[in-house]
Amino acid sequence: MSEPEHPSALALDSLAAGDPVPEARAHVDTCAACTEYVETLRAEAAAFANAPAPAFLANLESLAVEIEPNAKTEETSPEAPRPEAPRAEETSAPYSDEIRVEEIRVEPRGPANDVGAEASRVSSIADARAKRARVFNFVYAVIPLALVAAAFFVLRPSGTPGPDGFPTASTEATMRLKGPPVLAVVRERQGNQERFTSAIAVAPDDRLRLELTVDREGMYEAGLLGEDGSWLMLLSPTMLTPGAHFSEKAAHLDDTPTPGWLLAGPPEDVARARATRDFSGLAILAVKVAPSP
Amino acid sequence: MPPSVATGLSPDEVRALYTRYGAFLLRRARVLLRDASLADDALQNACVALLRGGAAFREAKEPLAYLYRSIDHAAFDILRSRKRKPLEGHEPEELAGLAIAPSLDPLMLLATSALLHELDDEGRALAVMAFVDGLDQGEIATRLGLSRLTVNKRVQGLRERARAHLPQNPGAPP
Repeated sequence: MSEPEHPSALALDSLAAGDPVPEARAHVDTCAACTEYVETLRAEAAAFANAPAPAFLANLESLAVEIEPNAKTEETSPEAPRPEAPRAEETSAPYSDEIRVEEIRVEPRGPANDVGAEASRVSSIADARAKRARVFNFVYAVIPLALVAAAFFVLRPSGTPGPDGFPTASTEATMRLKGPPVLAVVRERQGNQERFTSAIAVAPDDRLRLELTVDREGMYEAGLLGEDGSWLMLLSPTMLTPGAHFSEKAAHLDDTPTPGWLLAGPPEDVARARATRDFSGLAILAVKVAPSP
Repeated sequence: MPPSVATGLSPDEVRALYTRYGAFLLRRARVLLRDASLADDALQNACVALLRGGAAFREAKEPLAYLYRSIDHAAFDILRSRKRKPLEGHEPEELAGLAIAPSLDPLMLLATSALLHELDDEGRALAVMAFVDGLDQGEIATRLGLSRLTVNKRVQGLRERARAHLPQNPGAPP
């Protein structure tokens, strides 16, 4: 099989999009299959670019105004940009995957959308109209609802249980802080929850949820690094806005938990810490193993 | 100054990248979500995300890879919210006729789009890089900050799980 000889799909896609990929270009010049693939993508891209633009593109200025409260938190430092993609709606909705714009969509999918889905997007005027209507609702109905929901969770009193039983962000955690991120962890043991801001002792069957407070928007990652080098990601690289955030996952410890550290910070710093145990620039909490209660 | 300049792209920048890269992003969303309407939603959400926090795109060394990550997150958000499981072993219209990169196994691509529904975010990112982007394990390890050994183990595990979603085709490659 000749698979390994071809560039990755990502490289070929990038080449078709006009991004510089010298290695892929050299290969495509001598490979009929890859040439055909790239040319097909280019044709699709040209057709797409010439198709009527969806309405939401014309309304981006309005949308930018709608999201201003989130964007206008603090001027970001001009530090090296991170080539990570932003999360679509990672704001301050803690603990619950339910609080996402996508999930509080107020408009049910109508038959018109299903019909439109069966037609080519490029050529379907009907689908474009249905889309335009949906976009309008998204901009003017869903965004304000999402902001209200986010504000509700941020401002809830400390200790109030969230949807999955853990407490939500405390008012203490919503304070704006300067410097590195601040890490706390909520430990659930036999139905009881405690919040720790320094070392934490864990036992089998404990559940841990991270609480990360950041003072500047950026990409953050968090997880549990074992002394044996194991890594349990609790927050995948995510664009966070200033404020308190909770890890998207809770760690449920098995019968033999490993001592180590809870880490949180920029993904590159986390990667370095995992490789070298250099924790500079990161928020850390030592994890010790206690006997089962 | 437009409010989105500090952390996000300007509306004009989003429009420009939509025109240039939109077809690629929509195509990818269709592969991941197997639904044209949901793919449209993902593309729209990704554009909104770029508007509010995509300033780093300006400096991205791999622009399409950056945007793919953005559309992936948008698609994953939708996957999390979906209650309906995709049809297994079924090639939806959205994938029929889709050009597949020569380096990819079409059946594994199809199986991956079905498998994504049952993975966590890290598993999805791994599966997409391995079976949709077609990256080798060294590249995946670098991008995710994992050891190559870890990536190897997880990709093998994902491959086994993906096989369960392969169409019932006796001629399917092993």
